[in-house]
Amino acid sequence: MAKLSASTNDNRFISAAGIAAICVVVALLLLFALPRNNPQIERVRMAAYDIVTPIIDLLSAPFIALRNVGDSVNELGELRIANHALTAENEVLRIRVAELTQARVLMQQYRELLNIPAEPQFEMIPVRVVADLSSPFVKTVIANGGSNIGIEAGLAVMGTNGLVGRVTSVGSNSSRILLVTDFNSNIPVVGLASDVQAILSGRNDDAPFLQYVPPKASFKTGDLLVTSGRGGQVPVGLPVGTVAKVEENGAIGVNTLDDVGNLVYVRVVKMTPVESPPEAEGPIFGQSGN
Amino acid sequence: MAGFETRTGSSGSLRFIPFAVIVIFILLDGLPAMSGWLMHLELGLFFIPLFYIGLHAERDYTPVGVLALGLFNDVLSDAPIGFWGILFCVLYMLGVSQRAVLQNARWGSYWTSFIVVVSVTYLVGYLIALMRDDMSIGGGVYFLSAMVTALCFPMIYFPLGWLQSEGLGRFTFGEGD
Repeated sequence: MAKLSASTNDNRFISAAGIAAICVVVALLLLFALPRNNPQIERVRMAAYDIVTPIIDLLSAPFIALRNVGDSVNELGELRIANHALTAENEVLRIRVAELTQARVLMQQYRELLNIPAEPQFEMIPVRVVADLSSPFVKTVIANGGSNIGIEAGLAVMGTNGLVGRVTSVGSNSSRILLVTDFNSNIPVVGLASDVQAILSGRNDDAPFLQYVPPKASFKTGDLLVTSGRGGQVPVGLPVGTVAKVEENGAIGVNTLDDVGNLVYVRVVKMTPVESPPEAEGPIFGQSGN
Repeated sequence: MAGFETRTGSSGSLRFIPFAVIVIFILLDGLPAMSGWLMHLELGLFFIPLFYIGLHAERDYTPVGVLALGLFNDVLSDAPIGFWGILFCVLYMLGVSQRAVLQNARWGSYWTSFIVVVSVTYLVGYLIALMRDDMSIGGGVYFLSAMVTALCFPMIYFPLGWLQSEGLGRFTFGEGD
């Protein structure tokens, strides 16, 4: 019988304990030698997701059905109240639509007057979240669409109301979405009311927070944050969340517009990324060129 | 309560049952959370069949299979490659170290032993996360996850033993003490 003690079997080149020790060393080497975003590892992950996604999809069907039944029962009791509230909201929204249409026409006229290039158009690709990999270590989900429907790495992902994350890797029929609450997520945002730019970062808990806030700038509680478009990957103006409060450690917490821990359907925002200008071939203006 | 008579070793196709259960738990780990509070927990239900393997496996190359399962979980859970690999190997080795202790032990001893083993394993995971720049975890929720995992032990371990005993007659109740 093999035991994790020094083996007395002379015929064996290495004992069971030795094999176990080697396994631990191999795992340690992999952990500390392999960079997190190694492209080859990402390829392996996405190939695995491509295989596993249909299985998880199948396994999750009864759980989703059960959750839907629970949700339906809860919603039945609230239908009447919701109907009243939505009717009133609809009236307000009709007025807002008229205002926005007028503003859109005005903006188009101003653009033409100032000769400002139009923002790139984007399309929304709806996908369903089939696996939630969120844990205390990472906040990611797997969606059931990949390169087969035009999804690419780096694209922004919207929930029902606002930005929830970005696509980090894509397989043929699955894609991995890094949520805004993940420790490695950093999104450039701007406060609509305060006009202050900052970076929205995750910390592997429920709510992201703002980093790199200019020293003399301040956000107001409730200020709506939208993407600033810095970096060129995420479109300008996608709503992200509202400023919650300044915490004891000075961090500014943010309430996301969607419950990122409970996503079912999301929309991948496909846009043409802003290209970097070409390198100047001749001498730059003001330089002698010597 | 009668104690268990634990005989290490199993053979035939049923030997793979604990490994299959681990794969199922790894896949189930990716299911969308059913409720809000549950999504915060990092349940390690796969540690329970892994503990079983540690107590019963007799093949020298079992640790290689254990490492492979850990790496499989690394790939699927989006964790840094090697993280779960280490934790799986650590728990396996701790499980093996309990073999002598749990000879003819009462069922409560198995549970107590698992609580200690899983706590140490989670602690190792926590220390690794502290050492890495790209990992951040809340200690409270994390160790609560260890406790919830430990609470689930009887629901998985004993049916697993019973399942194997049906085919092998190796996992039996002893006379007790």
